[in-house]
Amino acid sequence: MALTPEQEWNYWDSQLTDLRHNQLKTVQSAAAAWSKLFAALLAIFGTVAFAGGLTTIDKLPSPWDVVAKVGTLIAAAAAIAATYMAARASDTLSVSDRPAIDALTLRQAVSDAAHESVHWLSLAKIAGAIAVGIVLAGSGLIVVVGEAGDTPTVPTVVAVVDGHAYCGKLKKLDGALAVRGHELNRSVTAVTPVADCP
Amino acid sequence: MAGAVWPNGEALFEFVGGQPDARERWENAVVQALDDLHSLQLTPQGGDYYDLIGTCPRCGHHMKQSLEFSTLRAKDMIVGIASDSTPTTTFQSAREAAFDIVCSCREPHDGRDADTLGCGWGRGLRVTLNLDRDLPSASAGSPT
Repeated sequence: MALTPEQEWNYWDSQLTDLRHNQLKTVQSAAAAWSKLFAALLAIFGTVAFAGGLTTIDKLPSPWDVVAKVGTLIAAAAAIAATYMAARASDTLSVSDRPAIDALTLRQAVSDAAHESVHWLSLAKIAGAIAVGIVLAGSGLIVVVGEAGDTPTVPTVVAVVDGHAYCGKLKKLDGALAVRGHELNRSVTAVTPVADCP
Repeated sequence: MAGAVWPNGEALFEFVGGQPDARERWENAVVQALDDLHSLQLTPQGGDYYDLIGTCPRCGHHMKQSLEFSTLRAKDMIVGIASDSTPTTTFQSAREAAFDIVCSCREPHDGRDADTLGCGWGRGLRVTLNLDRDLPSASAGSPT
């Protein structure tokens, strides 16, 4: 139904009255939006740690561990950006004490704010899609690649050969074990594992 | 009619909102009534609230309106007021604001609905008021 200019003004004048009468709700809405933003930002870090968390990423074989860590950072940045832009789209983040406006100016302001919100929401959707995509890809990476196997460690020992003590890592020498070039044969009287050589 | 002599107690009830000529005439008349004729006066009511009391510049009948000089709203809705009808620029100070100053007289005006007040003018005719200029104490050199 088409409105006359008088009916249009009457509507926006009533909206202006509502705006003036609901200033407290406006502030409360802003506070609620900030609260949700904080909660969402904290939850993001748990989400982008991928399926098994950062500890599992550390156990990925190279170079997948680096790929996963970089992906984590990008996903976190995208998720934070998406959360912020969605909050901006809600048009309630910033409230301040402003000069009063008239009904027709309020009409224009509401229209401009609506267009601005659509813009922010579009950006939020893109950033959110990037974050979700990376999280899913990262989770798949961990499932497919799995943890790197344990690297065998060479023991360090103190060996007593012909009455002389030698300390060093066990090595293979001509088909036999050796410490610092001394074969561990029948002349060995003791072999003691140690953490480090003195 | 925008060109008729004011005040005119027999003026017809009419809506002229959004017409630049009418807006300019109404704003000038209201500001003149406040600053020069003192037929309208702003009375502080505490905080940002003021009562505008006096006679309508158009019909000369008694009118009264409550004004609030600042409102809390989403920051993205901030707009300013230009000299024409396009809201593009910012206010000069925090003590300046725009209103629909609407005649609210109870005297009859032909063309008015039974549940409506005033002579019809002021609706959609933005008027920018400045407390430093329009308060009675401001003209005495001691703005509050």
